[in-house]
Amino acid sequence: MKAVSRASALEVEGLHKSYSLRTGVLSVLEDVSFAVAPGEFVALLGPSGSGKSTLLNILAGLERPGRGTVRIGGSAAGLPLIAYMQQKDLLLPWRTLWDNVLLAPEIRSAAERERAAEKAREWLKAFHLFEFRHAYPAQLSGGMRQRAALIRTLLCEREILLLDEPFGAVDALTRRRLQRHLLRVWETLDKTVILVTHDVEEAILLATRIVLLSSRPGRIVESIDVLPPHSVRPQSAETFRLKSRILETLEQSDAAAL
Amino acid sequence: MLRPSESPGLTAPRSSAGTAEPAGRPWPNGRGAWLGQIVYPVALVLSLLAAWEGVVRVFSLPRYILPAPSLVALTLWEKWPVFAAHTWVTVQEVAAGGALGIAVGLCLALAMFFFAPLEKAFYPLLITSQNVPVFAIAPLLVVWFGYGFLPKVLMAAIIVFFPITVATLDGLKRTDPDLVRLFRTMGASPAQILWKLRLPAAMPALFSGLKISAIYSTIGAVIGEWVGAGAGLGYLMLSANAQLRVAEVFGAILCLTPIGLTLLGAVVLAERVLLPWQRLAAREDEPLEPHP
Ligand SMILES: Nc1ncnc2c1ncn2[C@@H]1O[C@H](COP(=O)(O)OP(=O)(O)OP(=O)(O)O)[C@@H](O)[C@H]1O
Ligand SMILES: [Mg+2]
Repeated sequence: MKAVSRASALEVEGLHKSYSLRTGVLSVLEDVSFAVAPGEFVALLGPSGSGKSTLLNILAGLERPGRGTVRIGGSAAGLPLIAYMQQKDLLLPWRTLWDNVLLAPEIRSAAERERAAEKAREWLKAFHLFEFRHAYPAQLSGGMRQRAALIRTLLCEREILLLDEPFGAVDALTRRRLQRHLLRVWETLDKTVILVTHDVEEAILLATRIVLLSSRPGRIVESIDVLPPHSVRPQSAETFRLKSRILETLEQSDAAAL
Repeated sequence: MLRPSESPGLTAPRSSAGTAEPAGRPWPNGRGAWLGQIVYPVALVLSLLAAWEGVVRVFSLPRYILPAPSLVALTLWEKWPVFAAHTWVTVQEVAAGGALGIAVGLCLALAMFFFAPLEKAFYPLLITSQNVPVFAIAPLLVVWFGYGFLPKVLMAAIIVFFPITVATLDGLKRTDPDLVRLFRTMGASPAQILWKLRLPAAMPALFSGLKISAIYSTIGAVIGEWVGAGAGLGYLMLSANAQLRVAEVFGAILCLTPIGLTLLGAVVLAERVLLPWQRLAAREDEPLEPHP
């Protein structure tokens, strides 16, 4: 397991977030604190509506926390360190797949875009999208669009990846393959990853740590260190025990909230 | 330079995905639909013309009340240099006025989008101004700018700019805020957000505005000519009408309609070429519009 010796890549302390609605105040996150070390792969698990996307929005600097502090790379201003893949694919409908995945380098400069082309080709091939590179998003399936959004996020070339259910719309087989690709990215490029998922098994297979969020208002119920990705055997009794323990914890927090 | 050279096998993978299409109708927008779009309207127009011709002949209506289509055709044939000259004048007015109207409309929309106070100040005025009949403005323009080219151009521009302004502003405002946030996380500058996001996102709306403007563009020029002119199709209509040369009035109308239709055709064509993704989106079950 990677030691948490270096300074945190990302640190959240006493985070509260609520939305004021017409019907009253909706508390979404309550006293959330955690730290992520550089190179860690954290899976964020929690029931629907527990504020996972909200938390990522705050980390990405897109929303302000109501209370609490967010520190990224030791400083408060974290934007240039983070690449964020949101729950919707957010591809630009007027751009081909190729032009979509190269958006981030293109925004940096034309030269950067040129430089990133090789990598884009490599990723598109790995994700089985290369022959569709001239297609528009409307011509692609939901899963294909999601994969494209993931490639675009990778091509942002940021230290920290925030991924909000990146494999939500793909079948089990494709999901497996994409998970392996993501693992390879994480290992070879030494990124810090925070992955939101509903899939307990996915969390166990990929993450070095699983953070469990209660149902709304989201609080951190437990933070579980798991075996490094490649030593997890999906069918082992240990994995099975971990899985049922996580599900139990989530259920309990759900019952407590009601 | 950035695009790899091999051509994508787009259609093959998609059809192999096995989406069941009803047999015999492979594409809802196929050639059959196209033929229908031409055949039915043409058939309708031809039968209307035949009926018109029949009515005029059976009741032997005088030509200064209602000339038969055949007489209109004959007039067009015999006096085509006159019609051509007047048409050319109107075409120029419409072209200049249209260009001016589009430019003003775009600038106004951008200005109102970026400076909220400007929008608050201008928008009510803009809507109200559209309640003022253009017939009331036309004589004023003659007073101010005389009988020449300029007042007609201004009339055409006044008609054209409004749909462009409203449509473009609407399009700019409807840009998915999540996309704007995506660009921000990527470190995009405001100029990049405008050029790479807001303007492309507003394009479909702009084209809707352009279609409306294309249809109405000739109206402005013709009204301008009615109020005071020495040439143009509007002038021709008015003077022919005064002398009860009704066939010539119809001839002028026949010369006028293709101008607007050609412009509309040009807009539709430009939209197909510039926004190919839009037609794909229209075919999809779920709308591709940036998520509302
Ligand atoms: N802008 C907003 N205004 C008001 N309420 C909001 C807003 N954004 C999110 N919420 C509310 O906050 C709660 C948490 O939303 P969030 O999207 O973070 O959940 P989530 O954990 O990501 O759920 P899911 O797993 O279904 O994606 C929801 O109840 C939602 O209605
Ligand atoms: Mg979510």
